Amino acid sequence: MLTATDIRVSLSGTPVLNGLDFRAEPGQITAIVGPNGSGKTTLLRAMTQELPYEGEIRLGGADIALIPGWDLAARRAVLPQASRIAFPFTVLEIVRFGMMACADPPPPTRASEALERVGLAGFEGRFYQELSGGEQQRVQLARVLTQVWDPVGPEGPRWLFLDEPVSSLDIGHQLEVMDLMADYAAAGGGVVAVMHDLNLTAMYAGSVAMLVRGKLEAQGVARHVLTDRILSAAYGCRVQVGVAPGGDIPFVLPQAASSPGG
Amino acid sequence: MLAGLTVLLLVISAISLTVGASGANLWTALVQILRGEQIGLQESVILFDIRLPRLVMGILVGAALAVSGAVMQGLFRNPLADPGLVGVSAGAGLGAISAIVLGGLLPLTMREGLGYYTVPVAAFLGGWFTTILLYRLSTSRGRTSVAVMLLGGIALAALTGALSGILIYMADDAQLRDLTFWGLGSLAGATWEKVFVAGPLIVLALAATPFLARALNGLALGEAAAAHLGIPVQRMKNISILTVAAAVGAAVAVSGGIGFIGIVVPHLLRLMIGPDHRYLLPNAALLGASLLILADMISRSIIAPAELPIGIVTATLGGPFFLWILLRNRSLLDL
Repeated sequence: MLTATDIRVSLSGTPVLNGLDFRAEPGQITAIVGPNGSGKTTLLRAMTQELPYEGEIRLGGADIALIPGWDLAARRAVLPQASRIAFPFTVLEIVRFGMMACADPPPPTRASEALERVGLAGFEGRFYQELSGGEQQRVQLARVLTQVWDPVGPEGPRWLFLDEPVSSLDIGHQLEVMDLMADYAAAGGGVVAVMHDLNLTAMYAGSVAMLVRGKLEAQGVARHVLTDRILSAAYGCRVQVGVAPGGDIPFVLPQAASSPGG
Repeated sequence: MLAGLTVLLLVISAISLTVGASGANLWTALVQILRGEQIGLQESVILFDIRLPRLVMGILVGAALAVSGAVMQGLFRNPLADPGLVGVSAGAGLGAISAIVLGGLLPLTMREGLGYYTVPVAAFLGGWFTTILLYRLSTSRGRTSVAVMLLGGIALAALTGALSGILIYMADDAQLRDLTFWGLGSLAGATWEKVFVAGPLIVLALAATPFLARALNGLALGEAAAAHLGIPVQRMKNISILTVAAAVGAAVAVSGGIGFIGIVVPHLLRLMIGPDHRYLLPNAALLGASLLILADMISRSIIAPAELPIGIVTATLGGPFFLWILLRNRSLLDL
């Protein structure tokens, strides 16, 4: 269980998060959504201690500020939004960096296994810098996976914190990565992801947190949070929310302000 | 690779011992020593009192410069960071000059306590201060700006150069003589005394690098990502800065400023064996030592019996190389 209570973060003097509460449970994907500038990434960065915050963040009952770095590294891994790497490392080298945090040395095939899971089998010898944005994103995901490979460790559930994990991927790879996250959660791990795509969120997330102007507007299952009313108010545009055929998964259709059909 | 470079270093060392302006047949002497035979007094003096300290100092200084370059590039996450280019050597130089000119102002107990180590310790402090300042200037929120690093380095080098100039202007005749010998920027003044003065600091710095390699690898992913991997980032950055300052300070204290080894060697090695610091750092020590001895051999044979300052040799080789790296990495620089 991850809980964030009364979180306040200011960036260069401007308050970005104003007393926000958030919770995520292992066993499901928790998506953080909201308009640009609503504080999604800031919340993720506060919860991963990249930014100083006021308030309290607890992971598995313990205040994360008090958990030593190496212990945290064994329990949670973080995928950044975009990563540029300083030197010409190969894909294999980058993925192996994830295993630095592992207490017991994992089997040597682990890195290749992780690459296969993100759809990059055979990319081991390629240079990271020469890959496309989407491929780099998946290499980073493979690295993050090797760090917390087993969704449940001796100390409890492990966590993936992902900042827009599918933003630069095509639709096929988006589904592949979302499936991977869903598998991780289904096996008992925790997944917290900042998401832009509301339809993928609706399809995969067990819990959706809607952020608006640094506050938690709503959190719950997709069909309670992704409603016409909440979305229109949050994003300031007209949307139509329907239900996908053969289920209760909502889908979101944006409405043009002046559509040609009237 | 490590074995190959060790052999290279040994071969270059043997040649370096025997090549020079003396005219004596030192190859024969060297072979005689290996056979356990006696050699002549003249050969013995040239080999053991002139050439050997110079060789050992070359190895120490070359290794120190190459490794500090590699560590600095890892720390700044940039292949263009070099102690000579971004003012660290100049800062160490200012420290050394201060010690020579103002050392008399120190309390007597401190002067006696430090003894011969006054100059290298001051150079270490100067290099340390400059590196910290440069890192603070060019890094904010875990991101290092290449433009600020290079331009800030130029400003720091200019400033420390100016301060050094003022100190030189203030110096009396005896101090000026010391300064001239110190500032030659060469291995020409090598003595066993200098080897023992600079050696411990350099060996200490080199001994720290195996503990830094993993952290520098993690840092290549960015500071935040390194922290998420469980690396104590702040502590590792502090140790890296201390290592660079110790190696550069000691090297500058005994040999003046020798440029470009710190940038050429790591870059060549990244092309050959990749950027993993676990292999880069030990190999850089060996290749740096080999290259500096080679440059020293060139500097004392090209216009023999006179000597070209070694800084000229390394700059002639390193300058174009640096421009080449600059052009290759143009897209990375955002200048």
